[in-house]
Amino acid sequence: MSNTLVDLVGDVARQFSRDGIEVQVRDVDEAARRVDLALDLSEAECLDCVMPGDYLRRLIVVRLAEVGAPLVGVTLVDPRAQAVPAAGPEAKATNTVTVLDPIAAPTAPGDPDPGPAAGRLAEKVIGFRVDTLWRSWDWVSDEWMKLLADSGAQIRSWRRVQGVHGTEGEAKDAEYAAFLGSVDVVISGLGNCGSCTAWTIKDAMSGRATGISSMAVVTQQFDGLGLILAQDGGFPGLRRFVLPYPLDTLPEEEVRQIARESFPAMLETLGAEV
Amino acid sequence: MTIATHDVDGDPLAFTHFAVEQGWSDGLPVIPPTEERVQPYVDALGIPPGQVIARLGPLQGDCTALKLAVNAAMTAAPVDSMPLLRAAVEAMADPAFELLQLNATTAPVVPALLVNGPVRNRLKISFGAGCLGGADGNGPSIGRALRLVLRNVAGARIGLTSQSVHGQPGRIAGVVFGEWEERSPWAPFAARAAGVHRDAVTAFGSMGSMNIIDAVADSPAMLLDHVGRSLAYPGANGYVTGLPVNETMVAINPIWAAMLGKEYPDIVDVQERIWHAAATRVGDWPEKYQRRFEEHGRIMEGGRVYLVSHPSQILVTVSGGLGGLHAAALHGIGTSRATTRPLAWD
Repeated sequence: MSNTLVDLVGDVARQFSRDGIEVQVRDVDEAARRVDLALDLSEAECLDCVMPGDYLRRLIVVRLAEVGAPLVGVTLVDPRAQAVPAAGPEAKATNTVTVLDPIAAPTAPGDPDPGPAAGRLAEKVIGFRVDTLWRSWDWVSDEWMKLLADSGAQIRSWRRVQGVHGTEGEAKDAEYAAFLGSVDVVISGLGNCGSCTAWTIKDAMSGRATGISSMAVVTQQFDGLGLILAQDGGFPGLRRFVLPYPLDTLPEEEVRQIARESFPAMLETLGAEV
Repeated sequence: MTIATHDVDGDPLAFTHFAVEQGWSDGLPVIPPTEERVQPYVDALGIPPGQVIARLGPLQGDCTALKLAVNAAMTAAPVDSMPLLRAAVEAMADPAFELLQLNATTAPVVPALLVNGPVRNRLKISFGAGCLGGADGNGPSIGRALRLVLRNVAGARIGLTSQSVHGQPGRIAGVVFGEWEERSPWAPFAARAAGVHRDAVTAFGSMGSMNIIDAVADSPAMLLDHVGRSLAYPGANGYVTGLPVNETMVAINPIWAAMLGKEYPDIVDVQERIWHAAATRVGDWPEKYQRRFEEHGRIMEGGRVYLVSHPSQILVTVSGGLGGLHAAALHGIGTSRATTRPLAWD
């Protein structure tokens, strides 16, 4: 075993151990790039509140990739999956049958690289991908744009209208591609609902795919979804910046204050220097 | 067959619990998908088991013939329904349907299937009384098979990928119904929507079903106006201000359809009449909403704010029992468009 890999796995297991849930490391096989984990739920107060094992496993895979340990395979033994109730008092000896797995094969782990850091912002062009849904994102963007401009960056913005298809949709996508080609950094938001998180991540991944520094902005409630979508889209390491939730129901000045206060942390996520 | 397998207790109750614990199922009984049970489902498709029918999000899972067959076997959907299920998967994978958004959204949306052609009778899919729920037949097992495909192949899981705040009953066994073509004064829906004049399925992202009753209207125009006004409630998805497109499906009962068809032989005129009535006056909205409508160009002549931006987005079908009195409205989700596919019978 590599101590480094063991340490990384141990760290990640501890990160997912909380609220009475313990993720135990059973084995780490560096040569085979395999990790065997098990859930201990004996201290969990609310079993129904614990994420299903298969999704917990996927999030652990993503997290390991984020910390520099992209693995071929992770197994997670979930005691809930073992606890199959008996058929009833009249049940006889187990009638074992072999069933076919209905789940789709997991997608490849994807590229854990978050992509290039934004670096020094002076004279760089920062692109904001805004939307037609969230006024709070307009306010946050507005505050960040002003602060970035003060740092010497040039600002551009492009507004995504979700769900435009056909010729008009193709034109919009071409427009966005041109926008990406005109900026050094793209900040895509706001993931603040199910569908808009999907669009936000999609547009951030488009930026990442072109090789520019790219970041998605989501609210806390939808960060888990954003992570899964980024993983499924092939970019588990995509930079994501998380704003508090709920956000859109807050007064404008409060949202703007949140934007100003979160600016340094946002720069850090972006890998930016001012 | 190349696929992961599991040795499990074949007792139906034990397997049902096992499937729930594995995250494979919704809690209703499921049939153990043994190879012997699954094989006829694969055979019914007439394509190799590993052939990918579509890639489905958010998991980006490959829906192969075999995976579709396994999930269909679990719900005891008819073997003969496999071409229908295949076409439904293909319809949902059309980018215009926006399946990823449907599977991720906070809304309660479910892909409803509207079936056209003789296959309605062969598969016992109801288009008459109780067609949206309650009628005897195979609609629920077919619909549930599709729900399991979305869970197990697309990866739509509540609280994880799916953010649906309340969900809806249709998310358990789906919504699968037919059009009563023989009682419709207009061409079948699939023919009108996609030029398909044979067995076909249309996938439509439905927020649920809403009843519209009328026992007063004494003319076709008055009845259509009543239907239109009923559609345009303030919390309908079409009134999300930033949407450039939104669709609403209206299922008109055969009694009303016969009456309407005499005065409106062209379905386009029916859509136009309903669309025009499906509007609110901007002055009835609070000022903050008025500003948003104005910003998004939603205020039309006479201060009207239409539920959807064009009459073609009112999708009309003829379904339901002969008791008359009721229409069913299925409001759409966001910018998702209804998508139609023919069934392949090889």
